[in-house]
Amino acid sequence: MIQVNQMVKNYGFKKVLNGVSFTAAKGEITCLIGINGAGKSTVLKSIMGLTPYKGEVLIDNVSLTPVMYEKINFIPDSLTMPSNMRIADCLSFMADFYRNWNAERTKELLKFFQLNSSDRVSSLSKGMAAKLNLLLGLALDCDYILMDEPFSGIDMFSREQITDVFTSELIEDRGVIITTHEINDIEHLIDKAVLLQHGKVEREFYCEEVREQEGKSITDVMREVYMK
Amino acid sequence: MTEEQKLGISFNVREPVYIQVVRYFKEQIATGQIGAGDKIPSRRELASVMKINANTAQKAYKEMEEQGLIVTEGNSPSRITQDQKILSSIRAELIESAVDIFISSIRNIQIPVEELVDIIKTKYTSERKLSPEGGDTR
Amino acid sequence: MRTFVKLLNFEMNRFAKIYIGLMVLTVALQLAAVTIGANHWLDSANEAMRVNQWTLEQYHNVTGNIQLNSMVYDHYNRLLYFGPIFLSITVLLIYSCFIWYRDWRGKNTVVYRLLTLPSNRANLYFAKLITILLFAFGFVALQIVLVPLERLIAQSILPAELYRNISVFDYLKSPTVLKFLVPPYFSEFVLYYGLVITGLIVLFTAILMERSYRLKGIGFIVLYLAVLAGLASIPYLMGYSRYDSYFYPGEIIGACLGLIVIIAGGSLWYSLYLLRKKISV
Repeated sequence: MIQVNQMVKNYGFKKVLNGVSFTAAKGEITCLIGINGAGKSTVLKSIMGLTPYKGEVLIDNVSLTPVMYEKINFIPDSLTMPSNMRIADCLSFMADFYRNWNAERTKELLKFFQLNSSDRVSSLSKGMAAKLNLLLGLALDCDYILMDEPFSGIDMFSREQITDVFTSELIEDRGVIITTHEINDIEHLIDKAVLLQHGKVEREFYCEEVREQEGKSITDVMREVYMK
Repeated sequence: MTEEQKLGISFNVREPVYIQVVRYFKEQIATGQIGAGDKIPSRRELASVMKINANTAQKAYKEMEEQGLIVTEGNSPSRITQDQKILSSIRAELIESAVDIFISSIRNIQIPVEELVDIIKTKYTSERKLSPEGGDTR
Repeated sequence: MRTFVKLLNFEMNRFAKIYIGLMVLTVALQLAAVTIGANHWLDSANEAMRVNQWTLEQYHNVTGNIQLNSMVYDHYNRLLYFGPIFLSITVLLIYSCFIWYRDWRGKNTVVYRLLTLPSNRANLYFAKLITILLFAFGFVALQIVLVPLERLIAQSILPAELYRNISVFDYLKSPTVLKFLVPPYFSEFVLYYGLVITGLIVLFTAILMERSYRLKGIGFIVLYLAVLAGLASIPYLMGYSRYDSYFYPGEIIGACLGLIVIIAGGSLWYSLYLLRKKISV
């Protein structure tokens, strides 16, 4: 389980996060929801140690250390490999540095996403780049995956393919935190929703519970919270 | 389950997804698309085929087991129950809930019951001739 | 250790093309400079002999021996010979900054990947540092190898009566920039390149301060440089260039070395700390 306790983050004089707390369990898909600039990406980056913050983050009850990067992987909305590398080079880069790189699954994923390993990263369309990004994270045998806006600016077909990932065995048993401001395609796939506003968590709930007890969809709750 | 039956479910996001999955199975049983004793996909397959997440598939499974809809023996794949009582109660349940919805939507029009039944009879028999399967999918 | 070597390999590959290009350019231009210089000498010798009706031996009595150094003092030969050296230094200096900033560049955020590799971030730092140093020493080695080659060219063009070989050692002692870049004495080599390494560490520290604190960091960087300037002035205060100073020269040199170690060590520790705890993407 990933626990975030009272996370505070300033960018210059602006307080982006003002005491964010939530949990994301393994085996569940947790979605951080908020308008643009609400600090969703900042939360993920802070969890990954890519930017300093105040507060506490525990991953399976332990604070982050470099070794734990084999357990928790970050998939940002930009590519993390140099443009002049070929996809095959990116894959061997990952295999070099990560002991839990699954070469078998890499081959399957290449086929599934219809990516050509001799293509250069710079020649990939936005949709293909997003899929490569996903591949680099999914081919790792890691426990937690953090995805920052996996659907932003992606064409419909790539979006469908990416959505399929969430229902396949690729995600199974892993803890996933995804951020998005648009949940239409995946509303029925999310286990838990965390609504961010003004640097705080306004509501944190299990979607099926809210559907059962309040008869509301995530979008309904979002409307309540954000249109106040 | 055939290919066509796997896809084409869009979920109502105001109602728990797992309940909708269970209802889908009940409909499949009531309309005879799945028979008693038939194998159903595993939890993992269910998630991937119905495009739902693993926890939802798990919940749906649990609910169906609790309602006696499916039986799991040891490590073999789960099967639809062969208990006739349960099977006919499913049919009854679906019919009743469809009728409930119909009644609540028609009640405001304040039509005498006999007239209503006549209209239903006429429409039902003529439509039955058109679609011999007789299944009314929502 | 394994990670460090892989990262080193990664960093070196990213610069290899430019590096090889610079090396090829240096070889081509330096050899050209020597060829042109030697031919120029030959021409002017022939001209003088023709005008004055001298034999080779008489010319030699008047002008003395020609050595390799003379080849590159002429006109624009200097540019051909030393140009690639200065170009390479400039490019390497620029790349010392760029080696960090390129990871943040563009729509590819390579820095995310590098910072979240499952190993100590110090590996990242040292991979970049050692890459620059290896490339610098590579240039030095290239230059050392080029000198005998250049001698060979001069020797083959000029007649034996006029030309005398100069040892590589003495050639590198002559008053050109090579005296500092390829110092023939080991102690000078250690001192100069110790300063270079320290300078590189200081540069990296400033870069990491900017990447950690951004605009606020400018103030910190100024403070940091002020502290360094203060430390660097100690040898001068101790009477580095004065005859009548209170301290012995040996003590002053010792202080210099000590300061280099303190500055390099302290900056190194601080930049590793920044990379671990304060860096922000």
